[in-house]
This record gives sequence, C-alpha cells and structure tokens, in this order.
Amino acid sequence: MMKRKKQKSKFKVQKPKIALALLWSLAFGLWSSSSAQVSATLRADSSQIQIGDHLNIRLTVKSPNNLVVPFPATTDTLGNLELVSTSKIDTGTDGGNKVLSQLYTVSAYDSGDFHAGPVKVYFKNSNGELDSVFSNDIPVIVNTLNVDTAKPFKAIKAPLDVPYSWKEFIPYIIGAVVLLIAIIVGIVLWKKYRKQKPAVVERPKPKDPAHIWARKELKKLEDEKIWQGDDVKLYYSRLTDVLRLYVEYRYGWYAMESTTEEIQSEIENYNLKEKAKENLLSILRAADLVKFAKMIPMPDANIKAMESAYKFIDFTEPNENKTEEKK
Amino acid sequence: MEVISGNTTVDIAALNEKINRESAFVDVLNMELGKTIVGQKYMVERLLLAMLANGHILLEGVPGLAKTLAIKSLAQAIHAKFSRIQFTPDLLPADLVGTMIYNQKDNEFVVKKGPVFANFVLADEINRAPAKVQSALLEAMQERQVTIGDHTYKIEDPFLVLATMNPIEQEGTYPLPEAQVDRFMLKAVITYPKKEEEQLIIRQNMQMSDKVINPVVRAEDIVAARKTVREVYMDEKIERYILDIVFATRKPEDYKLTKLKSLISYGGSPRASINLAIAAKAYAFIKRRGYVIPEDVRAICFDVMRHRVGLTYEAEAENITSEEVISEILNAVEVP
Repeated sequence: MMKRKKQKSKFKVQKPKIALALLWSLAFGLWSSSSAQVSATLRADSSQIQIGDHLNIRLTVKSPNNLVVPFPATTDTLGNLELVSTSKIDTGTDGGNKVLSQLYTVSAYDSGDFHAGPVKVYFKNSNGELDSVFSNDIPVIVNTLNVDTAKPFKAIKAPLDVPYSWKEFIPYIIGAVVLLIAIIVGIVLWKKYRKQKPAVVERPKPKDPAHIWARKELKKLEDEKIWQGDDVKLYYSRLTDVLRLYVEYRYGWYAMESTTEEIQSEIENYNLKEKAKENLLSILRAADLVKFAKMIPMPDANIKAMESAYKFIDFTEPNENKTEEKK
Repeated sequence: MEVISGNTTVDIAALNEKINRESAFVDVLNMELGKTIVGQKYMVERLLLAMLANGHILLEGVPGLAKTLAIKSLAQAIHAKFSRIQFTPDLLPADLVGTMIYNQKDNEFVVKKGPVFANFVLADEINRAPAKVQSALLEAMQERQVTIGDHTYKIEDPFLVLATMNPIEQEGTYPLPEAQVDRFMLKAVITYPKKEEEQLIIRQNMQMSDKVINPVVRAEDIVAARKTVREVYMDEKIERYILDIVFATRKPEDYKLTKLKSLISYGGSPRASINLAIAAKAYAFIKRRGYVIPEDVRAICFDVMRHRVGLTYEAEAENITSEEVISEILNAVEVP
C-alpha cells in the first residue's frame, strides 16, 4: 500500500512533467514536421574504390516549394574524402517538391575506411527561422593495391606520350598563315612604296590646252625673228623645246628628258598619222645637227621647220574624230 | 630629211670624212673578232671604245661569258704585244712590273721587265690578288710608266689594261677600292648571250677546226684613231649635259632628285666627266659621226658611271643598284 501510495503520490507529482512532455512533444512534432519536409540524401556509385580512383557521389536535397533551401557550398573535402570536382547544380521537381542535386567526384589517396558526409543543409523553416538537416553518411572503403613483396621492384614508368592530334595545331597553323600573309603583304606594300618612281619632273602645266599653248609659243618664236638674226642654234633649240613640251603636255611623258631616238621610239606607241611623225622627227633630227654639229641650214629650211611644227600640232591636237590615243 | 637643205660648216664635214676613212678598221676588226666571239656585241663594242678612248676597261661577268677570249682575240687581231696575268692571292708586284736580277757573269743587276710591258694586258680576275699587286697595276695604268730599281720605264703606246672580275665567289677576294676602280674608264657588266647566239656558240665549238685570229690592224692605226677621236666635235650643250649628269650624282637635290640624296654616298669625280666626254666621242667615232649627240652620252653613261657612283647602306639594304640610280638621273636631266 505504501508503495501504492507512494506510487500514487509519485504520479501526482509527475503530472506537470507529463504536461510539459506533451507540450514538448507537440513543439517537437511541429519542428520535426517542417524539417521532415526537407531531406538531404547522399548516394554513391560504389561503396569501395581503389586508392586514387574517382568515386561519384550525388547529393540530392528535396524541399517544399515554399521553403528557401540554399544548396550547401562545397569545400575541399566531402566527409574525409578529397573532392576532385563538382558538377553544376541540377534543379527539378518531384510531386510538388523542389529537388536540387549535385554530383561530386571524390577520391582518396590513402587506404582505409573513409566516409562521405554527412552534409549539413541549412534552410529557413515555415516560421522563418534558420533550420538545418543532415544527409546520410556513406562509408567508403579505399583499397590499396596488392603488392607482392616477394617480387623485385619495377622501374618507374616514364610519362606516357599522348599522341598529337592535328586539331591541336590548327590554331597555330592559322596563326602562322595569317602572320605569313601579313608579312608578305607588308613587304610587297613596303617595296611598292619604296620603289615608286618619284615625279622627277615637276613642271607647271600651262593654263591653256597644250595645242593652244604650243601655237602661241611658236607664234612668239616666229615674231622674235631669231634665225634672221643669225642665231640659228637658239632658234632650233627653242623650236624643239616647244615641241617636246607640247608632246609632254599632250601625251604625258617626259619628252624634255628624252633624246630624239627615245622620242621616235615612244611616238611609235601612239596611233599617229605617219605624216605627223615625219613632221616631228624631221625637225628633231635637223635640230640635232644644228645644235650639235654646227650645221647652218638654209633660210627656207628654217621656215619649213616652223611649218612642220604647226602641222604636227594640227595633226595631234585633241579632236573627237582623231584617233591618236596610245595603242 | 627634207627640212634641212643647207650645208654643214666645213670642219664638221671634213671631220665626218676623216672619221669615215679612219674608222674603217672598226668593221674589219669586228669581222675578225666575229670568228671566235659569237654575239656579245655590247662587250666587243665596249672593248673597242676603251681602246679608242685610251682608257682601261673592267669587265664584270660570271664565268664562261668569253670575257678572256674576247680580250685575247682583240689583242691578236691587232698587231701588238699581248700579255696575260692571272691574278692569284700569292701574286707579287714584282711578278707584274718586273724586278732586278743579279747577273753573276757580268757581276751586276739587270732589269727583267714584267708582263705589264705590253700593249694589251689582260688582268684576269683582278680581285683575286692582294691590294699591293692591284696598286702596282693601277699605278702603271695611270702613269703609263713603271719604276724598277732606280730607273723609270715608259710603257709603249697603245697601252690598254683589260681586267676581268667575277661577281660570284667573293670569298678570298680583294675588292678593288673606289679610288682604284675609278682608274678604269669603263666598267662593263657582261650578261648571258641570247638563245640563238648560244646555239651558234655550241655549233662553233663542235667544229674541229680552231679559228685563227689574224692581225688585221696595226698598233699605229689605233694610235692615229685615238687622235681622231679627240677631234670629234662636242658642242657646249653636250658638255653641259655631261656636267648635269655628273653633278646630279653629287647633288641630286639640285635636280629635283631629293629621293636619291639618301642613296648616294659619293658622286662621280671630275675624272667621270672627262671619261664620259671622251667615251662619248669614241662612241660617235664608232658610229661614224664627227660630232657627239646626246644619244652617245646616254649609250656609254652606265659604263662610265656605274663604278663611280657610291651607294649608301640604305640603298644596298633596298637592293638599289648604281644602274638604277643612274637611270633615275638620266630620266630627270633635261636633254639639250
């Protein structure tokens, strides 16, 4: 009885504790209901690996859509396994739940028992409070190589040569070709620039068209009556200068710097009438004799030379009906 | 030519006549040389020019272009003394000009004249001998006399040095200094013959009989012709033209050739002007003219000037040759 009483009294004493326990259970139930909605799962491809081998482990975090669950940040290790690489985070849904997953590649460089996880996942529960959930822990056995110590040591193998692929060289080849082309183009342009013949003769062109200018100059020479004053050499020098300058202005090549032979050779390149060529060359040849061989022509020859000069200009002045352009 | 119906002044007409008469041997000489030399008209013409202008000539060309043969044939065709000196690195000046030899019998030193004492001296591959040998020859060329011991000996007229130079295989050679190369009146660059000419050369060489060159011209004829060459009329306009060309090599900027200023290290010397004038007269003589025209100057300008225009490193770096520089000058200087 005593015991009973005692028990009774004990019961009575424990009443508030039960109430507290009930309250605690209720509160824990509420907490566990929100944390139970978030789960973190680790799944490995294998439970054992050889030393140094890679092992893929996927972490999947499942949570209700209304909860904010940041995916856990990775460090250098997963459990006590070395983390080699991580994939991008995959997102998905599963019956109204949000599913986040990431693949970890881990390895171990020592033999023994290892484990991956547990990974702690933080989140804010429905009350807005910070909460967390742990994933499972995966044991991983890392085996070492079976070494037959009775056998002698083998030499260390040299690094393997990876065969070259032509694709590896494509950027270099393209670069070399582009560089080569650039160099060639540069040299060609540079040479072209350097070799450009300078405009060695810079004589101002007359304002009048060449044939008008030449006729004016011939008229001026006539009026000066130079050969009548016994200066035949000057007369022929002036006459040939006018004609050579006319040729230069008319056809654009440097007749003043050309000899009679060169003018003869150059004039053959134009569709000139034979009579026009004859007129010019006869004056130039005669002038050479007067200028360089002390020849003194008869007066009628001087007059005829002037007439031939006018005729040459008549034959060669620009006219739509004439075809004296370069062959 | 219908424009001119007048008379030339008497002296030019007489000169033309004289030249026609005295230059007749040129054709005979050309025919004789033609027995052994096929083509190479340019080279033969330059040899004649040098001979008539009383100058020396330097022939440059790759081996096998008949340089030596042409010179040898020319000497054979002229009744004159010919000697050939093969320039080698171990040649001594005494091997060229001669030396004093002790005569035991008479107990005295006697002079042994060297091969330079000839009318035509072929200095083969002149750039293979050291500078002191080149100097000995070039001194003889300039002074036309040689001193051996205490005596100075005149070299007989006509005296013509025809030197050859190989532009390739420059290792172990002694390039002629500018001052010495200037002693040569002409430097002719010989090129390969034309295809047709080379075919004739093959045929000629296949024939068993050797063509013999006969002496067709006397040395006195050459000396007389040289005097006539000096008489060829050169108008002052031509003289000014020559001066313009030579001065353009010295001061190209004065002739609107500023671009050439950086390419020319030194221009032609007064010797260039003299040689240009004499060579132009000789060219007119060969063309049977008693007067010089601008074409004559142009025809020999490259041969007279190419070794007298010094190029800068800049020009050499750009592969610009002295011929290109001369060509630019000729294109810029007004023809009278």
